Amino acid sequence: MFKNRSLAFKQSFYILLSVIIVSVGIFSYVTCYVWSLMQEGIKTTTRHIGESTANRLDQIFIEATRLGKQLAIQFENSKMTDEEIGRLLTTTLESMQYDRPEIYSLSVAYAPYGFDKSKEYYMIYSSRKDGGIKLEHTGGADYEYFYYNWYTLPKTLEHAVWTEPYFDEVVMSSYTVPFYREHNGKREFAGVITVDLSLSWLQKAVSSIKLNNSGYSFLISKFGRIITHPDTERIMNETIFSMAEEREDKFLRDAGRDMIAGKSGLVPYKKHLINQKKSWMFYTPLQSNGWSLGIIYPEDQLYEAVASMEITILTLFAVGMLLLLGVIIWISMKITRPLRVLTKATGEIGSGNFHAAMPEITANDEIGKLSKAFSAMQAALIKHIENLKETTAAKEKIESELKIAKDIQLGILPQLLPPFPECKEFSLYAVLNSAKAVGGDLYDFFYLDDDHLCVVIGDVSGKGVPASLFMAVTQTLHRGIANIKMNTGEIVTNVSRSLSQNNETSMFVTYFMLILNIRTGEMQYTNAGHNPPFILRDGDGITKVSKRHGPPVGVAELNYEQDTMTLNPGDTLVLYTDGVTEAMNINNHEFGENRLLGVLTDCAANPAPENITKTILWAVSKFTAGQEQSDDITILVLRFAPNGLVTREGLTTSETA
Amino acid sequence: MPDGADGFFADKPALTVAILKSKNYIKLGVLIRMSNMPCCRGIVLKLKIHKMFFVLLLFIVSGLLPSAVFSQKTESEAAPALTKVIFTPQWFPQAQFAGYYMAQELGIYNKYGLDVVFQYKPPQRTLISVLTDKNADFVTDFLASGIKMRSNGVKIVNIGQISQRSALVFVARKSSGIKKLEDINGKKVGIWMTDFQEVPKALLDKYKIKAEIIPVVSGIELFLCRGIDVVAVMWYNEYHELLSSGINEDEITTFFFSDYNLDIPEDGIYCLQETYDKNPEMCRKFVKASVEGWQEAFKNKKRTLEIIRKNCRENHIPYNNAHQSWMLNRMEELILPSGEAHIAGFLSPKVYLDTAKKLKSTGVVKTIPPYSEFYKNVLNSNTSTVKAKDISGKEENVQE
Repeated sequence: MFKNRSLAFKQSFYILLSVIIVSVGIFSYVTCYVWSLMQEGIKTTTRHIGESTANRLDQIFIEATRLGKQLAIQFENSKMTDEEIGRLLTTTLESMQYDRPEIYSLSVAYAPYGFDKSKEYYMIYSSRKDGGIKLEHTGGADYEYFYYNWYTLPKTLEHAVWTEPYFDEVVMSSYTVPFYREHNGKREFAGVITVDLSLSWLQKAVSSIKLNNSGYSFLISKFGRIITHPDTERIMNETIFSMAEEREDKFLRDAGRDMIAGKSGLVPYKKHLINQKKSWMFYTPLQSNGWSLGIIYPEDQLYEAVASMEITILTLFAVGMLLLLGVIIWISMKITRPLRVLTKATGEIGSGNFHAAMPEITANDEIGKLSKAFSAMQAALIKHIENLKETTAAKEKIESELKIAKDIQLGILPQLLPPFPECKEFSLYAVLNSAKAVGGDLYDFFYLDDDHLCVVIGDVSGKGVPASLFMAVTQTLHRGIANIKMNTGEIVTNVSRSLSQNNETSMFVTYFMLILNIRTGEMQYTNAGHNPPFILRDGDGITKVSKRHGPPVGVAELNYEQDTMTLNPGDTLVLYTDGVTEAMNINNHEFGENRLLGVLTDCAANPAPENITKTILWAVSKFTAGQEQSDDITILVLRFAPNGLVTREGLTTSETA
Repeated sequence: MPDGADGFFADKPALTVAILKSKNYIKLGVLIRMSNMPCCRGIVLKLKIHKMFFVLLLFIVSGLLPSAVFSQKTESEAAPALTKVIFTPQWFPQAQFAGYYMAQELGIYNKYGLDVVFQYKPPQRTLISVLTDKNADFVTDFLASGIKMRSNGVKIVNIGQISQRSALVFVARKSSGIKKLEDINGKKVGIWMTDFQEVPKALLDKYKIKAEIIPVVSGIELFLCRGIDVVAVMWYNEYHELLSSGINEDEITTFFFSDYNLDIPEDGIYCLQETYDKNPEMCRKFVKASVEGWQEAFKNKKRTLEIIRKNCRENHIPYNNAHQSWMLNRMEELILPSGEAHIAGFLSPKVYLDTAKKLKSTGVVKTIPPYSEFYKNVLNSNTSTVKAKDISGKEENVQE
């Protein structure tokens, strides 16, 4: 199953991979984009909430500020009696009972001897108590208010100021305003007014700011003191800086410094108070008193919204992928199924069953075309095989006939070699290697009478069956024509005449004939266009019998002459056809006469015909080194009186010596 | 009791407990009626308890009771009465008095037969007045104030010099242009209005700095608001408050008094001379217990901080770990400046004389009270463990 699926699998894999990569890319982009949109949204919302809350908180402080300033103006402009002062403070406080119960108390404290030259200390303190207003005169040796912050601050700074929050039954902060008097033309510090604000309402107001269940808000004073915080332990005990120190949080310290510097910002914040997750912190100052509001919300509330979107997309994605996978697999199978069938059918054809059924494929797509091509190929293959069978059968028939022809041809040639082993007058060896099954070379030797040996060597033009037939004709001719009464010239002329007649194919044969008187060594010869033979004179080098008596026979009716020479005992005559000298090696160089000469020179020491023949053959085959034989090779070596003796009245060199 | 009788449940209350006595057993039965049906629906739990069990129980109880009563009586008889003393530390509850808190918490005062009551004074009240008004038996105070008071004829004695170093610092903002001491000329300097003003003033006088001194009750708010340019702080307290208010160390110039030849030891335990004369043993015990308390305080700082927190809470004083931890560590450096193992609470004659001379030369005191009159070495401190650092800055071994 799996083997067949590999194409489908690969396809599916790559397609899916590409789809996944593209989808992941898109998905990531979308997520990032949505994420940043949401972050922006949250930031904007937080900023709005923070600022509006800060404004809301500011209102109360602003009112207290206004009240303080108004009172200060009153004290500057009018000199009131103790009673009047008391009444002023009481009624002011009373009037705020329902609108501004946060304003807890009011007080006025004069500079030393400022109210009354006899009184060093003069301070009136009116506060809410048990539903009413309580008025107290205070200040004295046990309460030297001149050294207290709420007094020294406005006096030294010469302007109104909100004190740091302090604890006096409840957490409070005072707005303290200096007031001045004209004295001797100079503006002199006369005392301070304080408006004391209870801060208990702040905790609730600030803690109600929540962006979700895990965000929180806090308020810090002008110098970082925690005024409200979800962790109530921190309130008034810690400053934002002491918290930062305890948690070794440099970031928080820096953020705190920005906050008390009155800056506004939205920054990432690493350590959320409660669950240590990455968070964002927004801070904005209260304009009235320089306190600062901080809102922290953890990032994971953003995650929730984005996460649900991501999960939806992922689910859709997964479903889509599965669908896609299914479709891909279905398509792949659709494609590969006919391929599989085709493969199977092709396999059957390959194993010899040419008539295996090809699958029926009706689609017109590439697979259909492939299938049609296969079918066409199958039909062509079948036809071709049939043709091949016929041709092979015909060829085999021809080959078998050729074989017979070869045997017949070889039968024409004298086969028994060496031919006359007991004969001491001469020794002879011949070989004929035809290039094809049948060849065009010929050699012949026969006795004309007891003393005369006729030797022929020839080479029909061309090769193969035509040449072999011509060779057979020639061989038959000279056997029929040659007799003792004729010389070689006459024989050759007759042969030539016969061959020339009815020679429509214009074939010819190079022809060398000799008649050797085996008693005397006298040799009569005619060379009709054939390679001149070599004579190895016994002890006297090698010479070429170069006399030519005419062109090859069969060309025209011509008269041929002859020549005579004498072979000495021990002389060897080497006859050959051009198959020897024209044998080619791999570099298309011919064997050549010189090389043949070289071989013969080497054989001079042992000029036995069989030896020479085989040596020449060996040399040629070594030279050609496996190249295909291009022409018939024929070698005939004749040695006269090899032992220097003749049996009848003839030369006996050993005797005469 | 009748088991399984049909009508039994019908008229019984929902939960019935019955006790049945048989010869050797007491049977306890609990009936829980589950329905009003006449047929029995209910759970009956039975407990058979052998009689002997109850007898045994009686014996055990009778055995335990008297011994409990007895031991209580013994305890109250054995424990001697604790001497009640009132102790007023010189400031609000904080790690500056960790040793005393630990002596209290770990029962060390009790061990020495003391029942110490902590009573705090308002910041503008002087410690000497607390003593002279007999509001407290023991107080802590600066050495300089103590010598000044004694020099002015107030009969107080130093029975234990706990702090061995000065922790006074002048702090100024670099941005106000104050880089060296001379720059303080003409500026506003905030100094506490009570006992602790002598040495800061002495420093200014010594170096001929003419500055406008603004007395403050407590805190650094005036400095934070830039109402004053320079403020006197304690290294272990207000200095860290500055940092906790958002000021970075690289934004301020500091003048450590110890760098200006005024490394005068500070916190010591004082009482009226008559207190000492009347009951020197009590004084010795108080100091010894307090010193032990300090040793304990440094041993396990986490535990110490817990106790300090408790005391702060009880007195509505703000507490945060960072600040008190800083303070506790600085106190350790002041009390055991050379890393000694043992707190001696010792004031050497050399240190005393040097201090007194300094105060005289700066006009804080007119005369130098005799050492033996001022300091009572209640612990008979072993001098070999004490190295007194000369105020001019040289280490030396002091022989008693």
